[in-house]
Amino acid sequence: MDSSLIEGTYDTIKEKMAFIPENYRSCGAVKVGTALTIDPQQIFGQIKKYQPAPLWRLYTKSKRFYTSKPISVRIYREDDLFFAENENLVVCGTGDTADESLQDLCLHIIHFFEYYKRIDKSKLTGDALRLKELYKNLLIEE
Amino acid sequence: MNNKNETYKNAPLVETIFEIRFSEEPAIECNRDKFYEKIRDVYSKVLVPMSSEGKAMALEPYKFERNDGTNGIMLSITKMAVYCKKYEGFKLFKKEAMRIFSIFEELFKIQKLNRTGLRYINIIPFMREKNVIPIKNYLNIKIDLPKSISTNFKNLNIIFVSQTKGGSITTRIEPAISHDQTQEAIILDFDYAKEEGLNFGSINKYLDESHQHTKYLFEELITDDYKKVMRGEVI
Repeated sequence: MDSSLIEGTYDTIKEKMAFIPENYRSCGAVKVGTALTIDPQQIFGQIKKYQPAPLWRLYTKSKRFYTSKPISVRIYREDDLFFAENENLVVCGTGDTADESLQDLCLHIIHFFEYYKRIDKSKLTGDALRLKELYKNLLIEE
Repeated sequence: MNNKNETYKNAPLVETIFEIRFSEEPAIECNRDKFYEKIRDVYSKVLVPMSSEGKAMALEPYKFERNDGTNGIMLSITKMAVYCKKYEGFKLFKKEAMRIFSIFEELFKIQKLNRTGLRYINIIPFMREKNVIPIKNYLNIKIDLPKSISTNFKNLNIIFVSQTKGGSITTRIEPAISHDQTQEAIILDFDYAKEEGLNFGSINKYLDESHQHTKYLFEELITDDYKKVMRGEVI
């Protein structure tokens, strides 16, 4: 390489640097300004009872469903086992992780959706009648 | 339903704060007891700031809280904030905030304000779908990326500051997970700030303006699907 070219490049850099003020600094991370001492992550960590989360889609290996109304799911843990539950539909899934328990719950919901779709109302009694009504049109296959 | 003034049964709001900032006022440091005397019937719990190296104690706010911890006031020589963890609508929040500010005004003759800020912190619980945060179910956010980059986000952290007619609004969206790994949530944090030409006598107006802008943004940002959840239309 031509050494005069290298020298020229260094001279150009030096010339450009002369135009950069020495007190330049990064703007830093953008922060929420009001009541800086209040940290949302800390608030979340202090919640004793979490709100259930909505579920709009259910999957199995071969089928995909979306729900006509969001299904409210509460996940909790007892020792090393996770539970995903909907009290209204009287179903609960279990697993070694939150995701596994949710998958298990989805299988239960799909199972009961198909069960109540097939079974005639005349064969049901008590809470099963309420459940048949709840499961009716709950899932729509994609 | 598209009612912009709707109050939701299951709103994700967990904390509301309105803060004013002013130039250093030593009288606050010397007369904190007088302020406390006037509010102690409601905000009886006193939380003294912890001292930490390199921080001036006078700038760290004292907290006066209700016994049940739901509402409170933060006060230092440069700022005062009213916060509420049990929000029952803007009207009630504003009424109480204005009551506190009038007590403050009686004791300390602050005229000029450097900043006002209204902050709404929301926590939205969510379930992953195939290990992905289904952000589209909750928020009307569209991120356009080149086709080679998947928008199936396993994690997402956004903060942006938008200019409005009278101030600026900072929106922060970030995920959170509980210690026991059972619950994930999206933190939706709004902060509406005003910083120019402010005076104490117009707090009422600033509070209204801040609320209107933030409420409008919230309504636009939340999807219709999640609004159903907020109304309690779930199984």
